[in-house]
Amino acid sequence: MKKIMIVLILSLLVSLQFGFTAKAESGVRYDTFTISNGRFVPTQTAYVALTNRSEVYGESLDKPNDIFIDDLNYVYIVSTNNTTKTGKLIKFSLENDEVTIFGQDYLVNPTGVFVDSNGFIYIADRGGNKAYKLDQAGNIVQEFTKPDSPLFGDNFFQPKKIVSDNSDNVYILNNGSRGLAQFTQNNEFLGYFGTNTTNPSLRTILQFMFFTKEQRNNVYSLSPSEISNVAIDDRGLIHTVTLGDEATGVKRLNINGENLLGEVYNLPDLQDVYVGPIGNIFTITQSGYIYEYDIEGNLLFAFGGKDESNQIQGLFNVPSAVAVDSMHNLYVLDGASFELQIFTPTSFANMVHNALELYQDGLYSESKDPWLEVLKMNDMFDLAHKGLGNAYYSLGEYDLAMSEYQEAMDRDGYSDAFWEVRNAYLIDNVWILLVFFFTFLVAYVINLKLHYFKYVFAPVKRGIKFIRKKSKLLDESLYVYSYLKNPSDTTYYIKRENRVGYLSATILLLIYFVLYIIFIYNFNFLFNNRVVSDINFLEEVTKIFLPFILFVIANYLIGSIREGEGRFKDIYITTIFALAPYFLTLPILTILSHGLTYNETFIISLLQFLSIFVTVIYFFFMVKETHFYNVKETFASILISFFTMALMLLGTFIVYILLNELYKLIYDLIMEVYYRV
Amino acid sequence: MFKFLKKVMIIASLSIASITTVTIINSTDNDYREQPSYIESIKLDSSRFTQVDDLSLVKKEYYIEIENSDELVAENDNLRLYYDEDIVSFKIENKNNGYVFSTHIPKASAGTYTSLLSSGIGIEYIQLDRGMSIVENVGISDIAFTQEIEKINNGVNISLNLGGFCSTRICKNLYPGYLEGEYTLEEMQNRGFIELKLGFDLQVTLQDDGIKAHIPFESIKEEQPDLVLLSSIIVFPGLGATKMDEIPGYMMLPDGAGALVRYEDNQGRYRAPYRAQFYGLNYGLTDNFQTISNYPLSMPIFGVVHGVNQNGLLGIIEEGDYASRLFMFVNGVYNLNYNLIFPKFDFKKTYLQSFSIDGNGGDDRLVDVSNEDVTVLYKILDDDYANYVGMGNTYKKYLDGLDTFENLEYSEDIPIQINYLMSDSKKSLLGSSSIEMSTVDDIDFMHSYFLDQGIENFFVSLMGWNEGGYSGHLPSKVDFENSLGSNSKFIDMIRYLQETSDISLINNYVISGSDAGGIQDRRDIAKAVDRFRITFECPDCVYQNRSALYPESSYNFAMKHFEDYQELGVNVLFESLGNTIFSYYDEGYFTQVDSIKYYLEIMELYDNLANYEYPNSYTYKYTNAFMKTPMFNSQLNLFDDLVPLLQIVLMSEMPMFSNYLNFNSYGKEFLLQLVDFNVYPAYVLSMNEASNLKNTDIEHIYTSQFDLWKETVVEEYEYINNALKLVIGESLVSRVTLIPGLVKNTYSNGVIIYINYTSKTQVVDDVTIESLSYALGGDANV
Repeated sequence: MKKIMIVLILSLLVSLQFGFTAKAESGVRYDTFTISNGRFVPTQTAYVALTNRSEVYGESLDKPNDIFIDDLNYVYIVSTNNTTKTGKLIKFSLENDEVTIFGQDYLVNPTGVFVDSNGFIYIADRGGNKAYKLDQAGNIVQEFTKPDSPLFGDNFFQPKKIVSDNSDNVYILNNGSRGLAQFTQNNEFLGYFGTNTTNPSLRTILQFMFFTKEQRNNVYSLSPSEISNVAIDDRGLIHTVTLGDEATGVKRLNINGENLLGEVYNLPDLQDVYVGPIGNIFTITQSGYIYEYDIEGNLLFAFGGKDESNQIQGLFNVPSAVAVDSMHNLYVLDGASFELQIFTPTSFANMVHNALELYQDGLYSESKDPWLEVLKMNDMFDLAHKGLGNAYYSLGEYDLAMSEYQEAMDRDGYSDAFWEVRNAYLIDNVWILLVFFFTFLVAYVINLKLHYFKYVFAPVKRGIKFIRKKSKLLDESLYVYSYLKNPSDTTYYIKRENRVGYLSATILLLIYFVLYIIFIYNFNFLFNNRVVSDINFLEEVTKIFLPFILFVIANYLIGSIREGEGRFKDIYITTIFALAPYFLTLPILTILSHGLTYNETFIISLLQFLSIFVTVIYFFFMVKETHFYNVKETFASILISFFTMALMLLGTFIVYILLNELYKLIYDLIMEVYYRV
Repeated sequence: MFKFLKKVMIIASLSIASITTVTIINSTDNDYREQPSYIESIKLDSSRFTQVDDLSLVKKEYYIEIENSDELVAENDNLRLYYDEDIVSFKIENKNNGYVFSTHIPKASAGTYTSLLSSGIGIEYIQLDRGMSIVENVGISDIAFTQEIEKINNGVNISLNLGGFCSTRICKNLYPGYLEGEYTLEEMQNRGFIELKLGFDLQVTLQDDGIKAHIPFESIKEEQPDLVLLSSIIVFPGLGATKMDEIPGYMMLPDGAGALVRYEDNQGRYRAPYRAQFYGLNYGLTDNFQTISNYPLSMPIFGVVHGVNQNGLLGIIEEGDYASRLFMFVNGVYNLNYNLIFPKFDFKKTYLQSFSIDGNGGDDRLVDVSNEDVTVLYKILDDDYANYVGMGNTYKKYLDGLDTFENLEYSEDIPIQINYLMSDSKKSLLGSSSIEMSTVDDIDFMHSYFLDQGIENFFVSLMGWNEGGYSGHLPSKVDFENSLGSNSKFIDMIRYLQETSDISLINNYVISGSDAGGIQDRRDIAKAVDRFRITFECPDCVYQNRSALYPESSYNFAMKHFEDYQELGVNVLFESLGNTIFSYYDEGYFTQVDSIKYYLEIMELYDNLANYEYPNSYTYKYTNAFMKTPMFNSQLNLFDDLVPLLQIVLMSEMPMFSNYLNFNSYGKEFLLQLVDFNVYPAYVLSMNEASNLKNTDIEHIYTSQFDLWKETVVEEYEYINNALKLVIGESLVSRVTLIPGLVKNTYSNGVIIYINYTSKTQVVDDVTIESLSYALGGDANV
């Protein structure tokens, strides 16, 4: 996710630097991004910052801590007055100027507020070490206090956040604990819920393996990251966000506490989460970015940013909470500027939400036009392409669906649509296939009797022979077939009789490279995880040629001190020949990939595996035959060659760094002299 | 008969405009997703709209009085000018209404700013022997100074000689003792005393409608050039200042389209002043000065209104604008109780000179930023002119007086800008590969479509017409991208377009792409004052470097290509030129003024043959149209209003086009804003889908396909044209926000355009304005 940050920061820089040349005026002080093919790309402004308020209808917000909006458009904010050390709950209406204050006499430092579907208000008072359930009149219905249960342990009871689900469970996020404390409505503690798990890294595993017990205790504690906030959706599913967790920072938990969302794009400093009217998930980070996801966790918009000077509308100092009302207006509290910032969706965002709503309700074909509208506004909006793909798919327009899925890089959708297209094709053309098959069968059967095939193939063979005689180069290159048939004999000819020259082997190597380039460009995108536009020629050259050359050199050097027979030339040529199975499979894979869907992935995998497996075997025998080693010596030679390759790389790298430092030193010296004079 | 009655009613309603009543009909438009009332009200109250004016009168008790120490130095039919020599301050009395503006704040109480605000003039200086530190905001009343006052025609010339100054409190306390010989000079110097030995002349003259302050650069004296240097002069820091919310009114900033900051008690909400450099960032000089504004101040003006439609003051910087900064304080900032707005004029700055390849560390160095005179004109405004519309019109008149604007031929319909995107490129296996977006034939096709739809008035620009495509290849000579059509086809297309429109090729002679032809790094790529190249790196881009060219190189390239454009008879749409100036190093140090000299020569050469994007005011004289007109301001928390100040100035003088409406995410509301601000629509179009631009450097053009947009373009154009064609060539006489979200614009031909941003239907002057739409009134229906 660091890359995302860089992109965001970069874009800010760009607008500062040469801002007035190309970018369109957005009317807000932040850029809005969406995801296109796994990258952040700019999009239309989705939310407009309207105002920063330190009061609501004349009532001061003090230090606002948490915010909740109920279905009737009442906003609830809990806040702390830092001078009097008391807290309060402010409830106000978005429809009229009604404002009520609760709990000034008993709240100390309320940091969490929630209202259930029956209108009961839940408040987590961290400073008061209690949580409360109030009715709409402000009467305390129930207090939640520190449980005596041994399950709770001897943690402090500092309720930070609180929610209640449809089955009347109350979940309290206790400060410093790893999960949500689950209570009944009657203050009975049931246990912990939704605890994060640890994801040991390679480093921690290695540490765990090699460290002594004491060291282990000192170096790290394998405790999971702390949940930073919690929200609940209409279905009663709990959403949590976790600080310091890049992969699964945003979670939706089922009744067993398992995560239902996959990996979502997020930053590691998640502060709050809220579920909006159509199940959209909103998160806000400490660095001031707001992310909106659809109900499945696909990122729709990312925007916002930090402004420590508190001067720019729409940016944050230390955002502490986010809430969304039924019209998708966003309410964000800032814990440093003590302000409430309100954002309203633009007509573009409304368009996206509209399409999404239809799409989520399964009304795919109805969502077609709204998605087309969205795509008119932004042709690079992946989710819209995906939605449109689904719409076409449900309308049976599989060709169109395919191209939309491809635009959205939705491989599953593409595979399904392609299956339909292929199916239709096969049904239409099955007679041609049958005709071919039976013709061949008949011809084959007749051949068994009459042997007339030889009259067909003999001239071809003669022709090839003729050409091979004429062109030495071609003859030598085609010798690879003989090599593959019988490596040991051909190696002998190569070694003793100079059967193959440098040039023809090099040509073969170049052909490999061309096959490889064709492969990476044309391998069906279903199976091809590479982004074609990111392919860099030099990088590919290095990838193919560098290991080859290093190996040939290393193996030659090792061979010459370990009594290998192979000359440099022999190693060069036989290595190229031995690699043939892998590279010659590539065109087959390329062609085959265009006829297969995900259902037949195993064919591709099998072929790939086989090509590598066979190549490895040839490679082994290549070394063995070229140097005339026994099995043990061959293994040794290969391993030592690899080690030498690594050392050669390392050496070059070190020399490069040193030279670079030297260059910098000399350059700096010259600069200093130049500028000082 | 009915028509006549209607006319009478309209005239009647016009004459009682000040007692307009607004009726709200409670029905909502279907298009409008109804927001909770709280959201709608904070939206319309936000600084994204113009607020309802507080028309209350300035209380007599807050009028500034003429004191005994004020000496009358000049007088004309409208104004009297007084001078108080003790604090080098002036007062201007408006004889029509007795209102007085003072260049200082009488009995100021403002902590460390007290001396600055108690004086008519302030300075900032650099102490060379103290690590080049700059001492800021020094009021002259805190300095021991002598002056020679010389009466000149309509005013005075004051030669100031600045002597001892205490920069610390201890020094100030000991100073009387020092005068009596109790302390030696050395003792005093150790406690922060410094002999400045600086001097300059200040000429203040009375004009018909204001005053002019002038400081000749030649008059600046620095007697200890190795100890103390003058870095900036602050002209009239207290002029137009008000205390808290005592006086109703506002301050005006030309930030983006225009911003107002109203006088109200902010209860300490804002902690930092607004500050920005006129004409935008100086890429060539990185100093400590930072702005949080994202628009340049494109016009060198600022203003205050004391009582709307009562008293106002418009400052126009005539000279020294290239190296000046604007400061605005609202009450609460630095614990001051005042609202202030004033310019600072810079002469010298310090910067960090690094000596290492990565640009770290280094020494403070000194550089000249200006050797220009300083001249500021202050126009006293009253009655109908004492508001932002009056300020805009006053500046418009001022520019017109300088022959800035040419007489335009007006057509019946408003023009539309269409930018045809032709080609770009993205990374490929080897280098980059070209992406065709619209061929020559496509453009013919698209243009004919719009002609068929009845649009007649075009400003067409071509983007990516050049060999290699748009990104990375500008500046480009006149060499068309062959894959889009042959040269002769290109020429035919240009001829075809010329029949119906102004046509220009987009080029950039200020910032060059890394694949631009003919650029020699050593010769052409500009070095900043710290001698590092002015290059913006973007590692993920197709073209990873964008560099500023030396202004001289820009000039040479533009000169070289001029004939080719002329031969084709095609105009140029210049990017960056007209809104960029910077200091640079080229075997010597050059200021922004040096860069502008070259740029002005280019503009002079291309006069009438060029269009500019968001040009600064010095470019107005040379541009046919204003492209990418700002429609917002920097959206700072302290701003209260968005106003079309820039638009008021330029209305009727040149067509103003919006940013491309493809990227309008605000829907109809933004179209209304165009009607409100008198700005014409602009689109970027291409034949092929915008998704082809994925992975190019112009990915931010994420929608442009003609087939998707063609109907919208015509519809939106007609919607805007139907209103704005009635006021082509007219100026705005008044702009009143009747209730939040309801604006009434009255033009010089009597046409009134009402704009309703609210979700309710409104009735004003018997005109019904549906929610989120405009309605015409006044002479429109006659």
